[in-house]
Amino acid sequence: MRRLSAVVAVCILLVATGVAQAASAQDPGGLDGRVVDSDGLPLQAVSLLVFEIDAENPIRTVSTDQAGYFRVEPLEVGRYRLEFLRLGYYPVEREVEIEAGARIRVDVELRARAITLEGIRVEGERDRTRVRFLEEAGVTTREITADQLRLLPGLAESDPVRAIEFLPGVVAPTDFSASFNVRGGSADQNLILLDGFPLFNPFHLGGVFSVFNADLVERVELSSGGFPAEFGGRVSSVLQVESNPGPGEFRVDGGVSLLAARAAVSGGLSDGIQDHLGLRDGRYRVAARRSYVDQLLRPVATVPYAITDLQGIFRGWGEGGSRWTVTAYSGRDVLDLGRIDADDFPLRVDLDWGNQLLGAGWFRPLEGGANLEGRVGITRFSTGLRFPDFDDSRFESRIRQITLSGSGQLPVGGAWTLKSGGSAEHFRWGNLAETGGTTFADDVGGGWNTAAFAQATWRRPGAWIIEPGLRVEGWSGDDGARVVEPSPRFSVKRFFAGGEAALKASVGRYVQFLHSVRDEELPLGIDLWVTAGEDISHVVSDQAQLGIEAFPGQGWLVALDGYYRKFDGVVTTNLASNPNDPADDLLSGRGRSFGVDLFVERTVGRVDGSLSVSWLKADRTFPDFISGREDRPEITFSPIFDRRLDADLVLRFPLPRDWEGGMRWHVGSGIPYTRPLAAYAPFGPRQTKNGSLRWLGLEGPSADDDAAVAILLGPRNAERYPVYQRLDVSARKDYHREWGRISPYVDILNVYNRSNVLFYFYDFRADPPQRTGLSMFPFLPTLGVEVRF
Amino acid sequence: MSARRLLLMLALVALPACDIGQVTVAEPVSSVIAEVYLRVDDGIPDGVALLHRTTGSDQIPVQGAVIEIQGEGPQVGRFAEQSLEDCIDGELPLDFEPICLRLVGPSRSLVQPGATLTVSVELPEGQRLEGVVTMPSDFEIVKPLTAPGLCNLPPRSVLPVMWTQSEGAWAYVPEAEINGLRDAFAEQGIEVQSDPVTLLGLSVSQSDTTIAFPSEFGIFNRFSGDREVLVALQGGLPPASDVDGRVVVSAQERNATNWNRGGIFNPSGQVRVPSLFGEGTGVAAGVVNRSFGFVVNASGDVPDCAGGG
Repeated sequence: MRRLSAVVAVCILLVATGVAQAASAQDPGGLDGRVVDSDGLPLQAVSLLVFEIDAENPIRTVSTDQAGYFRVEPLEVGRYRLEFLRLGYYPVEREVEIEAGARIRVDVELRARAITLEGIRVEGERDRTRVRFLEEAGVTTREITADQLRLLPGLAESDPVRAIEFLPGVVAPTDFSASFNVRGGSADQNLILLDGFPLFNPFHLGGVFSVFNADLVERVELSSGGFPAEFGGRVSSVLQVESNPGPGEFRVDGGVSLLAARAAVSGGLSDGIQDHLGLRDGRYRVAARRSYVDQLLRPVATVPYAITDLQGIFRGWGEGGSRWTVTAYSGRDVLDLGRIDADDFPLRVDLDWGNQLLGAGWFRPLEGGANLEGRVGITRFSTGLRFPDFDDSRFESRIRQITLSGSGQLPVGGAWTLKSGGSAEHFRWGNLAETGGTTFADDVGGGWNTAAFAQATWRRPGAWIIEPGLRVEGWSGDDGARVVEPSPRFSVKRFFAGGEAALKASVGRYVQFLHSVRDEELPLGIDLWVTAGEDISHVVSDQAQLGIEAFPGQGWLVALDGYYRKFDGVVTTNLASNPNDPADDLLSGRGRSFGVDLFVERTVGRVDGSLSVSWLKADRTFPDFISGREDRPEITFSPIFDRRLDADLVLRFPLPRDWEGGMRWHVGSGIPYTRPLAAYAPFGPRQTKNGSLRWLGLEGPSADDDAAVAILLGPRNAERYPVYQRLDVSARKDYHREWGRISPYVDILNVYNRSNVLFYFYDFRADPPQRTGLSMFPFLPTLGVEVRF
Repeated sequence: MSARRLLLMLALVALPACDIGQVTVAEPVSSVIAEVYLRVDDGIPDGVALLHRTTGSDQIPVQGAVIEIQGEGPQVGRFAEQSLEDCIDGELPLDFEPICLRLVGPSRSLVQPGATLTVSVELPEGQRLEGVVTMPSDFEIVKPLTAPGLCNLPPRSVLPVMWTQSEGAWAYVPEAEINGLRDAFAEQGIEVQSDPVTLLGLSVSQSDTTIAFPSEFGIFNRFSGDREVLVALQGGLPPASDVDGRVVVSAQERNATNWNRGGIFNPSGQVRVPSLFGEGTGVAAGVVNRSFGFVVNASGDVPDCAGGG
């Protein structure tokens, strides 16, 4: 608590200093305007660099919004040179004169370049990072572009969620799951958004792959801390996957990997349809992906598993600059073991799961840099496990969320911008497990999560950004639970070294009314969701972070963040719950984490890449139901994602014969596990045999079966697996042909075949006692090919 | 098998994981395991205890251990050592040297439905474990009405078994012992590995007081070698004249339920939630049983299970 108080004190001091400086400033001016292409369509993400007339380094960098608008304010009176840059377009320069108290308008048209130059691409990426640095106060966001994604070594094919594992503060406890933890938060505290709409379990094969088709991804952004008031829903991180609607002309992107075959078709609306809809332009992209091994091997073998993804994005621009977006996704995993001969595989189950999402967004720019934005969408997840031989057994889980949100941004004069909005989200979930005529769980629930926020941003270019905000979260559960949680946020950034470096600090409270009851210690699994209620606590997390960011040279970024987080109301499944008491199925606990994240990135030169180093300490405290004691004494332990030291080196480099290479070397200290101290023979009573006890080893398929062993555990998660290491490499080449492009690629995971421990098995029946184990991915080469025409 | 373990198993089968080499580890800790079951079987009190040690540890003998129970009054019930056959059904693991004890004498009457009893285990070296168990209250089987007597169960029929609630029960574990299935299924080419067949059912919570026999029995064996038998039993027992058996509905309290259902996941084995605490671990379990017998295709003087008369 004292650490938090110290951070708050620093923030107050910084604000006080900033306000004092602001009071002595002259009356400034400003500029705004819009950037369009030669068709008059708005261009988003155009970087505008503002230079003092004879200077070499820009004093401000901003980026155009979704409708092509930009605004630079305040600017001191004087003459400035403006430079507009965007990938694939010729740069444009303008000179302007800023007068006291006046805002001038600058509209620019960019012409497309016939050939995309590498230098422009690099400059464009650098400027996006720089825009964040100059415009955002406290939030820590890292971005991975589609180009970077393709050169990150992956399992079978590029995976936008897997890709973020190399970012600082992110821990992926096992190779077998794309599930991740950020800065000591639980996996269910990550909000995963596709074009702004949440997906609950965006993974295939129990977590091995994410559902996102890399062909449709424009960029992936992970915000890991310092969130302003507009962020809500989860307390640990926000992962935004943004779709690319394509160039507006017919194009096909396809690929075949060892996992699946996929194709994406993009195009534009005809003039007639555009006129009918009142649009100036409309672009769409639809994609399908399916695993094919089951079909390929059908004549010779039954493969019981298949995945399917369908995804689409439409984006249209209205005459007035409005932008409409429609996003849709549907995916399903089917594992039907009932199709296999029971003699070959007696475990006859039919399991499926998947997500569906439909969302629409609207963005409307207004005069003077103001804008309005709205979203409506529905997302749902469901899974079912059935047993073809036994009708009385089934397991089902589902959750649905309907979202309605809106926000508006308004420059209110001087250096202030105000943003406010609200959202209403309705949740409905159900979890059912029954077999043999008994019901283990049949729970349903839901409720309304409503929120309103207001945040103000005060900018003094090159000197200060101050961003106070307040978010008020309300929860109204179907079971009558009512919660209102004010969540204040405050961020401040102080620039120095001529605007090339900044110190930032943020504090805030974050609230979450949703939990997954999945045991994170299982390396695979599907999140099963429940919402807060009378018997289920909600999470309140107080967080503080202090960081420094600097651009020490052309194309270099260095960022160092320290953070402290406190989590109240986290839950764990009570595996010793009283079946007569539905209120004790979940036990409420608390947690905390603190750590330091270092990120060094180079975005220019023949070899670029990044280095991430994270140090983390996390713990969780829960009632110890395993103790068996009625009073359930508390136990504090390191959760599985408490990887103390984590380092990732990612490089992209040219290879001979025009191949491009990528590598990722990941080293992490061991994650915790609970060591068995001894084993014993388990018995069960037989009531039809006068209460005699029967060795359970006789019940399994063989006496060596694990069911024949019960164990005594040492302290919870007190031991650690050995250091994790893995070197992955990739190589790809683009062959350009008249009809399009073909790109073969090879990925090799775990190049030096390091045996990273997934589990240890202790066998105390052996003499002497032995420990064996199961490793994660071994040396694993995969290949594939992508085409575009 | 829980759904999550099933998922884990399925996925691990499909994934490219590798074995990690064998390493010798330190000797396991030596700990006493005490399993004390107090039960009331169709009104008759009883107690059985199995005392053993962790595998591979220094086998300090547990002979001479004293196990006692005590209610709210001064009377103390004591367990006496018996032959292993008196406690154990079936084979034992190799190199396994437990001792069996049984509650003896008039003090058995301490074990009554609803009673709260303190269970203590004291070893000759002075190690001590202690726990408390509250027996489930008594209950009655209401269908078939003939319970605890015999009834006639028509072949290829499913019998809904119903009973009254047992206060304090966390679960009911109905157990069926069926004789004659090996011969009865031989004509259908279904192999029955053992005869009699013992199958467990499960009704979770005090208020879940029904189960269908035989279709809902055997839920812990559905993915083992008995799968084919259990599939065949979904429609009822086979039409053979020599199939009979007994069904025991066992009301189990907190300690018994926790010990038998296990706790958190660990890849090295089952984790059990104890109710005996001290220098060792174990369970002080309480169960109350009610039962009935059945015969398939019985002669006319045996009342029908479904009708009860």
